[in-house]
Amino acid sequence: MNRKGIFPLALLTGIVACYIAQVYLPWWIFSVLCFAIAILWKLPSPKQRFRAGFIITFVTWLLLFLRRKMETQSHLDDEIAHLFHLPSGIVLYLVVSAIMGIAGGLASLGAGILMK
Amino acid sequence: MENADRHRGTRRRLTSGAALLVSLALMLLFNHKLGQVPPPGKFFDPVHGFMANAESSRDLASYACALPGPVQGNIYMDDRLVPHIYAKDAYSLFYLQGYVTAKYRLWQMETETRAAAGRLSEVLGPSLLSYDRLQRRLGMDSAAENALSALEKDSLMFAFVSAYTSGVNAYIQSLSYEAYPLEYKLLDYRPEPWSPLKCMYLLKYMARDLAGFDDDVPYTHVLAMIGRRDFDLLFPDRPEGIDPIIPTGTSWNFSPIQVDTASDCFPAVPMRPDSSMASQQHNEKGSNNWAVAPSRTADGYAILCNDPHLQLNLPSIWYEVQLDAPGIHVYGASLPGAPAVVVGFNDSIAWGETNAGRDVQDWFQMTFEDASRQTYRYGDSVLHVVKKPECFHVRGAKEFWDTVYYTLHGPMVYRDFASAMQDRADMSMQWQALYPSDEFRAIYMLNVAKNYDDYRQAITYFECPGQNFVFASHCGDIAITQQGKFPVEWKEQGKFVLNGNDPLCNWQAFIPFAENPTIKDPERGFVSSANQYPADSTYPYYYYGFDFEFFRNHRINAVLSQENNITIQDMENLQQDNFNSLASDILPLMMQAVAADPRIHGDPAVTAILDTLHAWNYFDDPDITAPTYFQIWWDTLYTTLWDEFRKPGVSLIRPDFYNTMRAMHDLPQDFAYYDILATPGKETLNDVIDTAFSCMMRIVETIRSHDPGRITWYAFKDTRIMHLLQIPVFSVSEVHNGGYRNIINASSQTHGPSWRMVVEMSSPVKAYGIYPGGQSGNPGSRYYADFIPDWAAGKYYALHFFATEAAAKDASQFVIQVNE
Repeated sequence: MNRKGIFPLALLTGIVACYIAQVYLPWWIFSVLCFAIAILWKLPSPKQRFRAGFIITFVTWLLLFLRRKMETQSHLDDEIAHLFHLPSGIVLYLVVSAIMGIAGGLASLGAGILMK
Repeated sequence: MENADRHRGTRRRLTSGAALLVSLALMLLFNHKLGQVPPPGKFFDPVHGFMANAESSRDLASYACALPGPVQGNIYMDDRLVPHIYAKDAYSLFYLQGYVTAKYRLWQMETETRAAAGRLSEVLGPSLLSYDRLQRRLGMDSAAENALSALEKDSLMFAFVSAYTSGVNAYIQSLSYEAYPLEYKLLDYRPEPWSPLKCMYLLKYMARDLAGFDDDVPYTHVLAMIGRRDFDLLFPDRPEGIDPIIPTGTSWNFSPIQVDTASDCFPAVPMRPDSSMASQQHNEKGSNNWAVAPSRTADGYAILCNDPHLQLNLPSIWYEVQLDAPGIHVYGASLPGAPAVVVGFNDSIAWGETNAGRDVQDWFQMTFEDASRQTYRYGDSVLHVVKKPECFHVRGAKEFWDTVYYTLHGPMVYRDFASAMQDRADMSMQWQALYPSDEFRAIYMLNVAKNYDDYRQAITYFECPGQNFVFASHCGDIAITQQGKFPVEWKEQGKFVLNGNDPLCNWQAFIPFAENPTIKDPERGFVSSANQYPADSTYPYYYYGFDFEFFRNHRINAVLSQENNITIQDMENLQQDNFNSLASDILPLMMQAVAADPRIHGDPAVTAILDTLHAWNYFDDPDITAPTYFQIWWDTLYTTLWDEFRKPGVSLIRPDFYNTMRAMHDLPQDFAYYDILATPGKETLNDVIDTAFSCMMRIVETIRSHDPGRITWYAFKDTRIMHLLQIPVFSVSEVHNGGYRNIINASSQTHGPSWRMVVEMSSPVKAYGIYPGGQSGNPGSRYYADFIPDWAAGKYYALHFFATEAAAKDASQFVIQVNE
């Protein structure tokens, strides 16, 4: 397979796997999956690995939040955001997803330890 | 070349290893609370974290479920999320009540019982330690344990409380983190198992709220400061013009129990620093209830009304419920954490409560044998102080040990308690709530009562907090009884600090329940109470209350006396009545005083405010400004008038509003205490009124310049319904409503009608009610605060008291089934 096509595929499979796993498994499962995805797809460069882990986690957490938000039409996220001095639930989850994204990116980056 | 590759490989592994370690560290870190921030990983998890508490506003049917359990029954949830519980027997019924109440109110139940038990610091940390210590020092844990021992002797009630407990625990056991109430996630702890003892704590929580006050120490200080003559003038035991619960002139057909009077009974109490300052007016709390006889109503059925005024919180203190099983068919407001209905009705009777406000908490100054304060003389005996160690498992801090000392009267609440009330360091407290009693039996028996005799029998089990139980029946009887276990006291016993070493200062006997003030089917065709004096001075027992109210009862009785052909709508209107009796009585005098002051004439701002006050009809309606002007003026006047009764660091009390009003009418203009201490001159009453008026003008000007909208009554008053954790985003403020304390619609900033109920004892019963909250305790639910706009607007909901299970099923949004 063309090595250039690997990165989007890694993202896609990562996001799908992570989206499903987050529903059934504990919150930290994304870091395990980011680690595994980097190994499975043999992502070559550290930059690519970090980027993949970050994007997979960021997108998954944001999507799961948006799904719940749309399902419930609730304003609870906005209220919680105000508790943390943020203007809205969306901003809160952009921040949260980015922080978790860094953790996911680091896990993915760490997969390099098992690569030749 | 090979070396360079190896070097690159090692560097990559090192970088990767470091990244992996940091990632693992972050996972660990995000799994724990970070200061005030809940564990970020768990809490913000969009699936299992707080977003799991965001409830859908559609598709209620998806909440339907069938559960296995040791009991059998169905819970039909109606359109307001009120459960209508149908069970095969009473045990199953209370199990299901426990289950469904926990489902919607678990965190509130646990928090209130933790508060009563002095265990908040276990979950909220060191800032709550002082609060917790005070609860233990008041003996709340002993009180709950005593109540539990009384309950265990009552096998039927114990079975019901145990069933309720099992229901709560069944719900708790079903919970995963995802389903925890939001506050557990926010504060990062897990629900603990429920127990019958927790139900007792809830009872004591109410006792503390309603009968856990007194003014013994401030009264003692004030008496020492101003002398007997002025004390009796400003703090009379029985002021003129009171309108007691039992109408004046009612005769008493019993001979009272006599007790020996103590001599040298009021010891001197040193005025030591008291961080609490004056314990002023507790009258934010209160309640109204009344019942009208069929002869006075349009439909010819008795009508009963009740609106308990308590602190307004979210989740609400009440939880509406219908309970149905063989032998019990009842609807009303329950207390989350306690089985059965507390204020409600069945097919035969309706009942409601207001607080009696009788003083059942007395303070005894102890003189010890020596400086070690271990032994004291009591009559001819020498007794030892009993020590009770108390342990506090404070979250995020070391375990803390405290010692509570007990004399035979009760706990020495403030001994070696540096934080407050140093003048009480040698005092012990006797408090009715600390003795065993079986209030749940009273509540249960009211739930199943059929007639007046059942009602009278039921309430004999209710000992503390003393309540005015109003009653109406389908047969047309109406009645009211001030019920509680009250000591027989000699004149002024318990009003001041007592000599703890003299047995004659102790409680010697109790008023037999049959001799508590009560009346049935009075000639005037109604009974009522609003926390006022229970009876006139002919009542054969001395009694004293820390906070009798004077204004609401006058208005209620005046309206009920005038009206005939009374309808449910009339009664709803009366519960919403905003007439300010205090203002109607005292404002003309205040206006007269200002009119005589030449200094203020010619100022257009003054003229505008005076014109507004002149035109005012004394109703504290939400969208007008006159109540704001009056209230600022009155509050300033009251504070300035009684400046002698505020000294930094000393616990004092001022004359209440009623006696202030009477003093202003009756006492001379130059009465000594009208003088303003801070000025060199000698002020008269009119001078103080003028000063207060000028002060009010300045305050109004300041408010107008900052936020003109705030001068409107509802915005100025700012009725708030705060979340129990005082979290603003989970609270509702600036509720658009009228009223105030001392007004029938007693909505102040923090307190108000916590459950309005109007019941016509027709067949079927017609009942209407509302409370300022919602059935769900979850801030993420649309049922959390959904009643508040309607409550503020004075609307009522028709209470669906279904006669049959089929009717409940037809009207239900969803069903929770429990099968054996």
